Amino acid sequence: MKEGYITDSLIKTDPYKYNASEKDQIFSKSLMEEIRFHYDNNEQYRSFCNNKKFDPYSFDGSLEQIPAISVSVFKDLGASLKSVPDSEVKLSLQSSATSGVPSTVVLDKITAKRQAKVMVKVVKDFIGAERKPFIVVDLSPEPENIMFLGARYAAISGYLNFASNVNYALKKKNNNIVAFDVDGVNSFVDSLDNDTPIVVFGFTYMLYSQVVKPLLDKGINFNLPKGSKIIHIGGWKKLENEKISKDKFNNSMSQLFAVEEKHVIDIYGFTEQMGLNYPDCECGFKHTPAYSEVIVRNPVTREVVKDGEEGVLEFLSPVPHSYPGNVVLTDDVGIIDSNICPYGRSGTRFKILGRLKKAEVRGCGDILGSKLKFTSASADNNSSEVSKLELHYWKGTNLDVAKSVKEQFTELIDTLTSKKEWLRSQPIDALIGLVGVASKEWLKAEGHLAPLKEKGLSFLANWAKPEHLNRISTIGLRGNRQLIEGFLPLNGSRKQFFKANQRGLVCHWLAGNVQVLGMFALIQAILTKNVNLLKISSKDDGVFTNLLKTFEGISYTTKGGYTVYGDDLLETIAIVYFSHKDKELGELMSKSANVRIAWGGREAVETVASYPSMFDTEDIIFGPKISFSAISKEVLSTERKAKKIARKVAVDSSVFDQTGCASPHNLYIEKGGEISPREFCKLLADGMKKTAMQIPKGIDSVEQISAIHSIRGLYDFKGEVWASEDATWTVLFSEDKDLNPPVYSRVIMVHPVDHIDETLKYVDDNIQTVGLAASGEKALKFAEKAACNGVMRCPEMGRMLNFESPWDGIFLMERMVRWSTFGGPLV
Amino acid sequence: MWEPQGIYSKFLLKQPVLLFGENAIMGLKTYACSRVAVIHGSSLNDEYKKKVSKAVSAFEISFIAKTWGGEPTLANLSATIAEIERIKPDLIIAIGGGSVIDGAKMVRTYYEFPFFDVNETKFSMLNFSTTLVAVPTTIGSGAEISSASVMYNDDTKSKEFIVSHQFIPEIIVLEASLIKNAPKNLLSLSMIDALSHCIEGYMSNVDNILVDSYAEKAIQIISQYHEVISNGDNFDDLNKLQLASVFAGLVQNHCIVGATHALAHQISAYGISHAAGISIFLPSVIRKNIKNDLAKAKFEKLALHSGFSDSDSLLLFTDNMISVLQIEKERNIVIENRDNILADNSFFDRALSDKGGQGNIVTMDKEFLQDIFKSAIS
Repeated sequence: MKEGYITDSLIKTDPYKYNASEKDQIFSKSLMEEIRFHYDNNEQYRSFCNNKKFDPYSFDGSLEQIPAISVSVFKDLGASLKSVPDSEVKLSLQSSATSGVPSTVVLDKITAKRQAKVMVKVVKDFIGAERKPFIVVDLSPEPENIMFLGARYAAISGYLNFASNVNYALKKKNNNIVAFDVDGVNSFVDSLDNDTPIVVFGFTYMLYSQVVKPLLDKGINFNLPKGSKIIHIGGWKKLENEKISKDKFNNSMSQLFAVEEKHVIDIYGFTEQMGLNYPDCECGFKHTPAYSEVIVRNPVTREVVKDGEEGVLEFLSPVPHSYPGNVVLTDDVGIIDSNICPYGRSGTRFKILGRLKKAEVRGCGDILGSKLKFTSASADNNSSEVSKLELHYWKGTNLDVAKSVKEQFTELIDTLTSKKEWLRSQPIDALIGLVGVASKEWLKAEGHLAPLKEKGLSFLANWAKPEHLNRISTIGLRGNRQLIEGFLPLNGSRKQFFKANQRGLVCHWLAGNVQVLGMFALIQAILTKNVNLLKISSKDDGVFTNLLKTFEGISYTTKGGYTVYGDDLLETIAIVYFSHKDKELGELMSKSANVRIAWGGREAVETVASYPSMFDTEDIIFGPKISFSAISKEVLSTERKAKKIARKVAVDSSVFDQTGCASPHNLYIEKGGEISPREFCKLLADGMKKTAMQIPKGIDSVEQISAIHSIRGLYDFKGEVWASEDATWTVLFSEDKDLNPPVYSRVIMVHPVDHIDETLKYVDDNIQTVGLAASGEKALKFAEKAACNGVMRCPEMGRMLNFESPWDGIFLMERMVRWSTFGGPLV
Repeated sequence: MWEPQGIYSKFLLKQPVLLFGENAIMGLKTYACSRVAVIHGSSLNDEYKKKVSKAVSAFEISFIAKTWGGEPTLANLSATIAEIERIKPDLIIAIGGGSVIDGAKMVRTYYEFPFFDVNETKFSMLNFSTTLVAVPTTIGSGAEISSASVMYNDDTKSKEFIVSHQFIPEIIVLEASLIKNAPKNLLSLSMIDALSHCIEGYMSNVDNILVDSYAEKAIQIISQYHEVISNGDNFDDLNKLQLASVFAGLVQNHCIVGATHALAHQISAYGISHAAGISIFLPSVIRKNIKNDLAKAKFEKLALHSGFSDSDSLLLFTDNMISVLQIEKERNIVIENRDNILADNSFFDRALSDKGGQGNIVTMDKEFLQDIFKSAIS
């Protein structure tokens, strides 16, 4: 083990008593020395640096130019990110994983020693050098409590270095319930000298759940000696839903323990740079000690922002030696304050403002853990709230606003239902023609429709062409759409006849991801002559209203002279919004429905599942599903063919910005073809670039962009990245074969396989579509096996998102009608 | 269903069910249907309407007299389409000549596909759920087995051939009783049209061995039974001529015909019927073509396979059939316009580009057609 790293000298200095220019020199040197160490000893890190075109030996730029590693890399690769031989690894540290997958870092003796040293130096500066009595708000670290303590155990042990004696304030009762031991704490306090300050220590969420919440209302408090301090660690992630601010928390803790509010110290830190702690200074900010530095970056552009501007925090420290955690970009949001600390602490002043939200699941990838049973007891039935009934689109008679919301909703449903007769008398072919007229307007995408261009409007327009609707309705109605008009022979019989009938009211619970998919269902409900009530998502943003407005003032006349008017059709449709927590309105809608349709999102599906309905109500659930693509080596026999396929994959990965259930996120390519999987990635990148020009991308949220940056960062380590300068598209390649969770927003993960059949293990009934580029018997056998495993579709590449019939395993129109017979029976 | 499109000779298209013989219409009894619409020409009598009503096992049957005269147009079809939209039939019976059958094809198309646009809609999507029954009251046109529908375009003031194999009716009913009262000269002219379909189709540059046998059989029947038109009313024999006409239509539908049709289509602009035009040009076209060795061999083969001793006999038979036709008036019109036509390049240019004449076994040029024209009226 080499001795005498610059870092080991650096950590001997006082944390907050240095001159900035002095620090610059030694800090940069020690940091670069560590980085070079990882570059030399860690293949994955070297590959990352190469991908980032960063050579630590020739680098002479500033700190912000050193490529940062996203915390997500430690979640995925942490255990293998080692810069020291296995024999030198002493410990693997894992984060508490309060949300999602834990981060892992491996520690050797050098790193562990440094961590302990810098921690002591920093914490001492806040609570003093002498050991003090500690009240640890947690269970004692006895063997039977280890499970409950989990990752907190290591952190608690670290802080006990500052303790003279310890009281564990939580006790497990007979029924295994953990509670704050008021009497025990009082006894402990009473046993101490009144002049010796005490330190109350715990994890923030434990203090909140075990102390603030249960004790405050009961009026219990403790009178700790003057100068006592409360230090809490672990962050606020678990308290996000509790609606408690840091100020309120500090104030409550201060009252409970009679500790000055400025002595309630929140300590920030994170696993990836364990040991480096950032306590709150009395000045209201945290400080970087001599051993680390902080940079604030714009979460979208990743550029460094000016002091005082919010952004994601990047921490730099030479402390990590056994793993390359020296420059880490966190998910935490904060600001830097350039003023000087009145309490004399040097070091960059910063504040944590929160955490970058996880990118919201916009697509269908939020697979349900288990299929829901459609009973009224399956979802959260206990909470209900009264909400407003928002009528987003309704061309029928005005509702009586003097009535209650429920009465108004009932009136709306009754009025809709009264239009069934009119709709029943409209010829299906005339309705197809009318939708066809609307489809021409959708194709133009002008005026109020212009913003919908990026939401698949042209896709909808093509789908809604009369030629296609004619075909869909013929297929959907047992090969003859005229069955919706009257009785026709059943299976060629002269004795028995059958016909399709409207079911009545179709209620749609729409998801916010792929809105035009909802239109597909609506149009088919219209063609089967059902009246429609649509409950839109809170994220609808006027999409459905704008689509329906197209029908205003249009008409269609058949060649025989029959005219159907869009304005009349609009009286059979209503678009509403109310909170999904409004049980009364939700139940009313559900009970009135002859057909219930829920699209995509978990919320919509669960909502439909939870409401009661008539016993013969037809439920059509287009639940959350995901999809992937597979390419056989035979179809990659020439570069020309490979380019064509790449273009098709690019289309599939770009339509609806991958929010569709049928959007591919993972692409499996067989090795051994003329074009290797890696070479295909280059072609795909070219295809993605071209497709981005043809299919403009929607606006990404900051969180989504951050997720894209994170995954790119991860693949910089584990594979290769081809991507646009901005976050428009990303092609990722690595040797792993896992079916990775979707990132969305045109991120496609490419995996090489020896045979496409290897992907069959990922196919179950959560997989909606496998886009297949294969030929002959191989393709047929794959499709047959995939179908047995649960896949619904194995379409051609480039057409994965083409809404067809059947979809999700059902002929939609057939489910929207009732079948009647006349004459017979034949047996 | 995929069907071969374009000039590809090795296929036989979907064939309709053929009901023939006395009371053939009663064969419809076995077809399940719910609502029937009968589109008919002006000559359909009440007695036959009753027969049709008895023949179908439907809940409703409606008779609609065609609303168009001559070639149908979209405008004059619309009243019939409106009736069809009201009735919502699943079986449509077209009883009449070529115009009625062609019109019914388009009525069915616009009924099932109101958005149909000749220039925009993909024809491959015309997948009918309604059954079309063709009951021809003439012989020779081949409309009952043709993929084409002749429409008159009001905008361009021209005839348009709209072609889709989906147009072919599902059932053809051949009843001799329906043609017994047709004018004898008209029937004889129609037989020449049928004969020309066989000869030009057989000698077409689109070669189809299976279809050839239909041409051979049709000529055999025509040569054997054509006299029934003038000699009496033997329904059995008339029915055989109807069958021969269907065979001839099938030949024309598969193998593109040649110069006779190219010229006949142009001469119709002078008020000369299609069959009369065919009768004027057919012998000259045969004689011109068989100067070519390949054409001569084919014609010889056709003659032998259809029961003639040699090609001269078949040619003589053709001449004789035409010689008894009353087409002097039409021939005189052509003679009167001879010089104008020969001076008018566009007449022959149009003939050369006529889609219906592209199958001529010998490559045509203006001189080739002018020679035929001169020979036909010499």
